[in-house]
Amino acid sequence: MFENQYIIEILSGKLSYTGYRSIVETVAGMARLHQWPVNICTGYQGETWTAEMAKELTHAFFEWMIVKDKLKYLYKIPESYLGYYFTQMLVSFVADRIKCIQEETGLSYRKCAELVKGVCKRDYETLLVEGKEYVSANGQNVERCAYDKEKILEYLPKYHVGNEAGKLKASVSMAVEDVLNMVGGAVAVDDMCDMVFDMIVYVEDDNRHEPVPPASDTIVDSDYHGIVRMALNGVDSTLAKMILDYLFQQNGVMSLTDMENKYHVPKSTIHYKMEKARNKIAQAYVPDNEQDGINYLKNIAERLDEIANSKY
Amino acid sequence: MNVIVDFLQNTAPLNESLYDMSVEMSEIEEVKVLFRNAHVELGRLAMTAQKHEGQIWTVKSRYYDYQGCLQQTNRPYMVLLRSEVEMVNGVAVARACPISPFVDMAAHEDLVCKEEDIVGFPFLLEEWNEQPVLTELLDVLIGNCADSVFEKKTCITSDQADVEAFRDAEVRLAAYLSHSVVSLLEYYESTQNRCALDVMGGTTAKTVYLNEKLADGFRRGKYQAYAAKAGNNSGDQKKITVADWNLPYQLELRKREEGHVITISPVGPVTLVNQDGIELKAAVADNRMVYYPIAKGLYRISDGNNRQSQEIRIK
Repeated sequence: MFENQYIIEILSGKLSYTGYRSIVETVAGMARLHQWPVNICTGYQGETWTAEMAKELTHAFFEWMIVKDKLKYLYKIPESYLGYYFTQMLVSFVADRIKCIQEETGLSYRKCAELVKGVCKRDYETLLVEGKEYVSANGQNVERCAYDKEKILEYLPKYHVGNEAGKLKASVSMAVEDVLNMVGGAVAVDDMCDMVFDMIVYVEDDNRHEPVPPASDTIVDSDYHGIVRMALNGVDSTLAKMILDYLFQQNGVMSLTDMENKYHVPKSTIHYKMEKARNKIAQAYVPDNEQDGINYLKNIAERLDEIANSKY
Repeated sequence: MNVIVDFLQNTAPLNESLYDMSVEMSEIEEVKVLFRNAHVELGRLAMTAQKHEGQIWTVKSRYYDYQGCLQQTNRPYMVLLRSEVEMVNGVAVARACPISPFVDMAAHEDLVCKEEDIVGFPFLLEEWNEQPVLTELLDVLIGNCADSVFEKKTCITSDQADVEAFRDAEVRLAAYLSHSVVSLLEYYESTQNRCALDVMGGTTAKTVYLNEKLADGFRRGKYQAYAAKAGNNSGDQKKITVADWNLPYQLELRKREEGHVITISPVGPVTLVNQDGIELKAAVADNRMVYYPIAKGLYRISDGNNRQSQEIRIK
């Protein structure tokens, strides 16, 4: 906790060397004790807090306090409470920063899976069968359950989540409940994570209701028209670009790290989406021969190009 | 783990010496300029006031409970009084709700005050954390707060698990407040409301009991021996005397029908202040300062000569 005397020094314009050092050391201590992520300091990566990072966080905290007008009614607060008040503001500031970073990176598959597993453990019964974990609403027999993930998803609603972490967790809870009700039996937890991730739509702006554009009539070969449309159902502009970069290597070989840096999406999410896209493209059509396969992929690439350059 | 919940659950003090770092004078100047341009106003008038429902007070960070044990917290509290002051066996008690600046942790239907000019920041009223508290714990009056300033939160923006963890942490921490009343009730149960005097100091107060029952049925000789051992003046069965306890004066406490009598000798620049901060008037007789009638509770004796003060409790 910040020392009252040093907070009063700052506020009265008489900050001493000892006072400033104490404040920065307190920030560093709290960052390490509570294991705050390093990336709340702009431009820093890694896992260990250094002195420079602590200073950067301290200065950013002070600027945030002043910009947000947190000191407007400071005269109301007794001096004995000032140190704790500043400590509370630091915690709020860090919570705010972490929330902003999460919003920028969007919903990661890993994060979604963590939430799903948390909901399964907390609200339902989980059981281990032959090394695989299952979740059920009321302890139903695992052997009696059979389900088709893709089919289930067709009948279940999408949950649109934006900037509120609480809404994401509530949506995950509801999605888990929907899946269990639909299946009517036990569901493998891994499958549950996949299905719920597909049901959650992360929305950054108000374009959530914009539909994916219908396939145009300019596809090279109309024989592949319906197949391409089915394979690329639900692909938007960003996903199209990602598939072109990663699967089709349009701009050279790109690793998951390169993709993460380019699209600001977590690697686990990219991996999940690319695997899913690859499977969908592969399962949508089985070519008769090599040339047929090449034509199919060419059509897929051209359609992806169209989607990538559209406004959706 | 939610950052706020993690902060509340980890209450251990930081060991700053582990993070020794060098700083530049230019960094200090930068901070000074930042705050100079912000034109921050400091300082507030200290007020003494009668305690009433609807007031917001800070809570002392340390107090001696009725067992004489020192209780401390490194987390300062602000509380809203939710009831008028009541007397429990002659001791002032009120019901209070802690307030929290972490409005993001408010759940559906929690009361939130968005006005910043009441305590200096928007706050959440922890109605679900209402505690009984001895009013002697209340330190500084912040201001008054009407029910109309509160709004009920009507939507869910925080995770239910985080909210529950936040509430658990806050309820656990607020035991510091209710312990004051719990120890009072335990004291009365174990001592049958026996009169005693606590002299505060160190981690445990020194307690002297009034030997009311011993005065009956003893021959004078036996009583004198026992009274001497217990530190009581054998000449008067209903008196506690405190002397030679590193105090520059002698302190006596007597019990009467209408209240207690405190006697301080010799006469000097000594003042007796009650828990509301009001200085009591003494009658001077035979080189002694006599205060009567004195109710049960917490008092502070200030010695002007030595600039010392001593806290005592009559219970």
